[in-house]
Amino acid sequence: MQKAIRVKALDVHYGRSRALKSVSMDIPERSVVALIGPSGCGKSTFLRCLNRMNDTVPGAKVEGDVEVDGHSVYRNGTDVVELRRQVGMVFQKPNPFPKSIRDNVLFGPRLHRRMDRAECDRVLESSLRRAAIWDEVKDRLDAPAMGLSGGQQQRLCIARALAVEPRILLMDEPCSALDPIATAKIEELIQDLKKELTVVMVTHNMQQAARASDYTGFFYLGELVEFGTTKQVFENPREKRTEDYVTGRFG
Amino acid sequence: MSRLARRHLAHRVATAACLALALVAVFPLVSVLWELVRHGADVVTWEFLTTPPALPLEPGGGIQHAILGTGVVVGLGTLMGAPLGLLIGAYLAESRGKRAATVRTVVDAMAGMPSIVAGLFAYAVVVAAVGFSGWAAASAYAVLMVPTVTRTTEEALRTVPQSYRDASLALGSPRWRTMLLVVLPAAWGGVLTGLLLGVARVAGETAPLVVTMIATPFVSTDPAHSLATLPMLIYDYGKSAYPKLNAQAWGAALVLILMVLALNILVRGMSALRERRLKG
Ligand SMILES: Nc1ncnc2c1ncn2[C@@H]1O[C@H](COP(=O)(O)OP(=O)(O)O)[C@@H](O)[C@H]1O
Ligand SMILES: [Mg+2]
Repeated sequence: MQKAIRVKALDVHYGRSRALKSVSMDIPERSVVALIGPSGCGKSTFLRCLNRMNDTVPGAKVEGDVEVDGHSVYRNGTDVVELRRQVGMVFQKPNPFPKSIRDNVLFGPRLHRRMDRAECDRVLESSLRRAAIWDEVKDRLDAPAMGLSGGQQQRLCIARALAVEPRILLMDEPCSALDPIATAKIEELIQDLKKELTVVMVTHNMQQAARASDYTGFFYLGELVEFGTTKQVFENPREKRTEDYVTGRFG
Repeated sequence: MSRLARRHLAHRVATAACLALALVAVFPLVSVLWELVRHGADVVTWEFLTTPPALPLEPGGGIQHAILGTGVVVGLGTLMGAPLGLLIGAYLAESRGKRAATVRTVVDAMAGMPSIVAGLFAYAVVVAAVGFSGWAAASAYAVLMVPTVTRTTEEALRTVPQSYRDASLALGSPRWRTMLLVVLPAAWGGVLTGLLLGVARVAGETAPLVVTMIATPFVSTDPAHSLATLPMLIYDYGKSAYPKLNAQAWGAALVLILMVLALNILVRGMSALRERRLKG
């Protein structure tokens, strides 16, 4: 199968502490990858390497390489703006801009091209529909995004990310601030998204990882301990540490 | 006494103490305003605001020339100083490291600069080049305004959550567009207040005017020449031997204070309106 992302011997230091230790991972296209592991073991760091959001973190140093669609991301001359258009990101805490729902969704597309009225409306509706929030907001597109509930805000953020039509969507614990119903909606949404794009998602919820993903990677203390199909990782882990973690026998 | 009663008593005492101290704090402000109103209210008429000065011994005459001149000098000073302060403030808010620290130290040192020094700077640079003029006075105002605008801009921009910046960057927005499209709009109320503080800081400054312009009784808005201004007029009229001019000085002082106050209220209202619209 075609690989959407190839990570080769990725090493990340924050100052003098090493947050990722030679991590390699091949992520097939149109799949959902769950990254699991205890807090502080490098999952967010790994995710931020994929769209170079670590660039803005003071003291972060990245070695090794990441290829997105066959193009090296860390070589000189990579267009970070273009990369981030291809690789969208949804954060742990919903972070809509203090603007209207419409302006939130159209923020990304307007950065990259001129759009007339009709095109704006089209992008707006299709993005909100794909993020399964259209019906809830279609009557108040010009209302402030801050007035939405947490779950709605997170889906709005997903719509905002989808509006620039990324090939890959990174999600860092997208449901950790949400209630179970909102979480279920987002899981459902991820299954739909998989038809068109690749999703890499960090989660602390084992059931969610087992339910929603095709592949699972287990991180521990900066190492990728195990990576394989979700079925294999959960039912037949190769490593003792993975087994302990997925069965909850772990500190 | 029960514990609850004791707490209620403590609450009352603390509230009363806070109120008393707040009154002490606003007393000087209120009394200054009161004095101005007491002496100036009768002088300030529509005619006073809209007519040029008359000769000292003739009745009537106004301060139109000084209002216009102050408008021009403050306006030009803001046009020069505010963008500079905004840019430096934005730079400081978005960068760390030695260079930013150096810039911050320089700006802080500038903030303590006596206004006469700014005036002498404008005298040495601008008056030497183009003569006594509105341009020279405006440059002095600009220099005085930069530190205030810089610091308030930086503080306002820093209150914008990092998560907004992250969201924008992750959508493929370069840093400068993130600043322009996300950070600045989110902090607009604070930035505007900073600009206003900058304007208020300079609007009543007299020393820089004394060394950059020559007092004139003529109505003009041409910054290539000396202009009349409210602070200079208050200074001249205040120490004048003519009672009419003394009275007019009070009137002009009241006008100056009210102008700054009106500006403040305007901006407060604007930013309150904006916040209500965005928070929903
Ligand atoms: N901006 C940062 N500066 C310094 N250290 C960091 C930073 N971000 C993360 N770290 C460190 O890197 C390690 C991995 O963190 P992170 O990737 O956030 O883990 P996870 O997402 O799995 O909880 C932790 O030890 C954390 O303290
Ligand atoms: Mg994390």
